[in-house]
Amino acid sequence: MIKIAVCDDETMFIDIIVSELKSILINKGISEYAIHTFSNGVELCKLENKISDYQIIFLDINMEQLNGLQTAYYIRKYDKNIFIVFITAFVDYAMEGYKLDAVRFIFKDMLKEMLPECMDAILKRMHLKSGKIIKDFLEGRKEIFVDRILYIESRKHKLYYNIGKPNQEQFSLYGKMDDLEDELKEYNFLRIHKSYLVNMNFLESIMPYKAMMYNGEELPIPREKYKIIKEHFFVEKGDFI
Amino acid sequence: MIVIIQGLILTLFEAFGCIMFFNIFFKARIVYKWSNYLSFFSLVLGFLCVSLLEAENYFLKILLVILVIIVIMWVYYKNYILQIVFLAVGFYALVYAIDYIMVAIIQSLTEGSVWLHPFHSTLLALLCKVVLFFIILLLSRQLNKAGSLNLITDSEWIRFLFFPILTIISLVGFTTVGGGGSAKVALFVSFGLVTANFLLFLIIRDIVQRERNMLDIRISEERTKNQMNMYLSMEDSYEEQKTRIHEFKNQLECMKQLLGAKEFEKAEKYVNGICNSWTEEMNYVNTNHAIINAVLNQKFKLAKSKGIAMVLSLNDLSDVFISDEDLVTLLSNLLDNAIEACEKIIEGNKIIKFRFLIEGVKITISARNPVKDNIHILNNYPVTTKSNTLEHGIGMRNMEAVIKRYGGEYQYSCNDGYFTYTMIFERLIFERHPN
Repeated sequence: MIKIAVCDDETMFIDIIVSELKSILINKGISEYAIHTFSNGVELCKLENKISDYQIIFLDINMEQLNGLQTAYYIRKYDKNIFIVFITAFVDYAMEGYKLDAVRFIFKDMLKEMLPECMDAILKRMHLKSGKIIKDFLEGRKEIFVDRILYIESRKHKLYYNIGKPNQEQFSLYGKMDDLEDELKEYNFLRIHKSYLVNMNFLESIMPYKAMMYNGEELPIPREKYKIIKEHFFVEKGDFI
Repeated sequence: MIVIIQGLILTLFEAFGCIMFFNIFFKARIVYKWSNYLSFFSLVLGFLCVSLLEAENYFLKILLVILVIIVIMWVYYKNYILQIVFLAVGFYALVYAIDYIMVAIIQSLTEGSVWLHPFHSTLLALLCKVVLFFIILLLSRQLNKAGSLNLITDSEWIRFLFFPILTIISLVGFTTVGGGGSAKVALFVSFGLVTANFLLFLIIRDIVQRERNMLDIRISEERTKNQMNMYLSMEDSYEEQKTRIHEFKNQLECMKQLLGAKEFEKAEKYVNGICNSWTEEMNYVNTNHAIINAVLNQKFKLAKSKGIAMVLSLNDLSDVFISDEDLVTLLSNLLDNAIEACEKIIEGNKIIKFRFLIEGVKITISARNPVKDNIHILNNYPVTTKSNTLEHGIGMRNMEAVIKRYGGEYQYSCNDGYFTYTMIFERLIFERHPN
């Protein structure tokens, strides 16, 4: 069930956003959802830790009493994972908005054009965030969120799962890289080498014949694959969600 | 007399081949037009002198020819002497190998009867020179990516190659068939054909060069246009501000009047009205960089007027190290192309995803837009749909030049109905190569 909050002090905009959201969700075949509306930021803040019930919050920036940015700061105190979307007439507050890790800034006069893409992005992010794998590792049975895997290395018939934040860990099991590549393709993993399957989200840069990870590790790229890997990396950088 | 003329013509061809060969690897340092002729005729003279020497030792003659090439090419190209020596030996080895192989081929075709008539040996020498010319042409196309020959498209290139190939076939034919009465005519025709080959090459090279010059002019015109655009968008926003200040004064005056008359309700209504109109006309983008703001706002409004939405991923860009003029070139071309592609989409999502982020020492600029049909990439550039073919990828070339200047990297691709152009700059690299 997707729970969405829409917070705007102009009822006309609330109505437009809600009806647009409903039609987008129906188009996507999502029937289990709830959309709650709030007419100001204070009302939303009163929920305190119950704010976390919502996965997505649409916030108007220009609200009286507590504006959208102040409300967002408050929300972030309780929950770092909620998808916040700012509804605005202009992006003068953009700099602050990005610090709050907003998914999008949607312009009031372009709601119809921008909302569908925004929901697409959020659903994709939700999918990436919620992906889990349960495996019987040599270290024991583990459940891992896919977005924590930095890369997987194959060595002597074994697959080593390198896990990132909050703490670096490594688990291993016997298996084939080819099968794993198919399994993780939808989570943005790229096979940069016959022995390395990398989570593109942790890939910082590509230089001749090596991939630099955000944690400072360097992984090799074979010469013959370099061009195509570089192309994937650049496209990935240009296609944000 | 005829023998001397024939020898001279063969020497001319060889000198010409030598210069073509060196041009593949080096760029002449002396740029005067006469220097080309001077180096060419010095080579011819050098070759002639060596051939007229009464030396018995064949190897000494070869060494002298190589020495002539080294000295003249060193003066002409002013490159490292070792490289010149290496290329001079390489060239002579190529000449020698071609002569050897051609003699072997013709001998096997004619079972040795080729030496019966001097006519045959002249033709054979001529044939060797055409093959030399042909091989240098192929090498030039393959190795000298920045050279004129690489501006010719593949199909034009194949059509052009037809000519030397036909000449080689004709010469093989003339050489293997017996001499007889038509020998002089055949010899005359052969020399004519080979000369025509060289002349055709020169004509095509000049035409291509002229086209390249025209393209350069177009590129510099485009740059001036970009600069103009920058000033215009700055002027626009300045004008807008001026109007706003003027309006603001009027509005303050009006409010003063209303408050003075204690018409509080009317004043409140009036203030609300002003607030609404202000937000409507406000700029959309703020990145803390005046030029980026001006261009992005201009493009955002343009896209919006065409029903195209722009999704932005930006952060504080006040520290961008790219010059204002270059920023305008990059952003205007990138977004103009994206907007143009979106305009062609009849139904569906007309959305451009634009990213401009500074993350540590890296700057990423990208645009991703849907395309009506997948874009074909020809000669490393996406095929333009602009009606004026001269405008083929001019914007792209300009962007590329700017990216290279800052030591950046770029990549574009068209997959699943989306075109993505991404460029990445690194501050450290730029500081190492400021030009």
